[in-house]
Amino acid sequence: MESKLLKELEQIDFEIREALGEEKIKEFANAEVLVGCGGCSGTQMTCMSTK
Amino acid sequence: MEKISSGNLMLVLTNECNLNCSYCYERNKKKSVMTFDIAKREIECLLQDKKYETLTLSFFGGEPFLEFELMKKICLWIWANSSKKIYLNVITNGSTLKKNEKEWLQENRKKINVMLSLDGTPETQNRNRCGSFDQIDIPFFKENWPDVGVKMTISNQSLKNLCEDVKFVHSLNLKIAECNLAFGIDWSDKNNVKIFAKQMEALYRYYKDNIELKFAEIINMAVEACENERKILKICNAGESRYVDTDGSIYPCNYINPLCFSKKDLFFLMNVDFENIEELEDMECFETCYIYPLCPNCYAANYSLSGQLNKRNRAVCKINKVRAYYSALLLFEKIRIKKINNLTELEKGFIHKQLIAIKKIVILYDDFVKELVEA
Repeated sequence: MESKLLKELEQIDFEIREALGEEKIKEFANAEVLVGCGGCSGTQMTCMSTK
Repeated sequence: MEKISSGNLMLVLTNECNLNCSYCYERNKKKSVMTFDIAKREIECLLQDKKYETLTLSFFGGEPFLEFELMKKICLWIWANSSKKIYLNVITNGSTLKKNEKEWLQENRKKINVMLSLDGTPETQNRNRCGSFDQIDIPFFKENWPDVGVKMTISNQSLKNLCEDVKFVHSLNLKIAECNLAFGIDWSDKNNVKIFAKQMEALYRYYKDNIELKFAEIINMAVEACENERKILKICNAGESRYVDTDGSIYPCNYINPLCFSKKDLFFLMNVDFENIEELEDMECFETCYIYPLCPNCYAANYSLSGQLNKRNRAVCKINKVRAYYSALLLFEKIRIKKINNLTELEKGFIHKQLIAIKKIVILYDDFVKELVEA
């Protein structure tokens, strides 16, 4: 699966890079992706502060 | 945009529970009920605190609905007296509600969020949660809180049924709000990761064929976070909520309290500075693991298992790598059906970041996961 997937992935990424240009790519690369705090996920506990 | 500050209050209405779930971390349950005056005092305290514009109040237990009249009285007092917006939440096992209680909840369903704990098929629910499946009026929860969804917990006994459990909950048209491994139980058996990988493979295939569904959390990690600039994260919420036990004592979270720890351990834990995240971090994970930003962490659970706050549970480490791998594959399935030309610049930039993370995760873990699935 790996090589087939990676080939397709590279193709999509190439399209995106072409459409955005290297400068924009760098700009987005530095942007931090905010994820949910995760809280106690991975445990059965629910910290309701994340709700 | 200025962030709205919200106070978090968790009120333990009772330490008692009518069930005794196989993975329950509250080991020292006793019969003890909060008084209305304690609840009122705590709520007033946060209402008067000017730094909070809103308040999130969660009713906790034991099983909070065992003290339904108390909860009702607190809600009515809040609705009559609060000058701030208060979000009300309850997590319940759903097995105790009487007709009049359901009627009251139905009348007030827009003012209070109720989340049901439902682990999956009747077989799984009964195994994990004391034969409670037939005691739960699932349509009642579905009709009144369709957007809240259910909380699924995976035990080592129900692991082999994980895919079927998720499919079952989807078949009921219920939203899956949470779907996570139970903690406080032993995951160290090497077979667990093999069983988990096979279940995740099946789940991946199911979601691939049903790509429009909202994926359960277990296979929906935000893999792009791995491409953020590396910094120590405070993933655990200890110290950020005000957890009030039935007697009015205040603790840092719903794990660090007398239900879960001995007096000696509690004394230690109550004196920890949970803002000192460098001291609390497992530096090996931080420095060497690509999926560090995705990994769940609970300081108290670490302490419970190893006696150290900063020692993450290595028994679930491989499991999290499998999660990350299948989350990446599934995310790629979503990306490949998008029409790139129709996306905004921001969306393209975001997808670029996702693709980098997917690529790295696949390269890192493909052989490892394949070996597990084929074992």
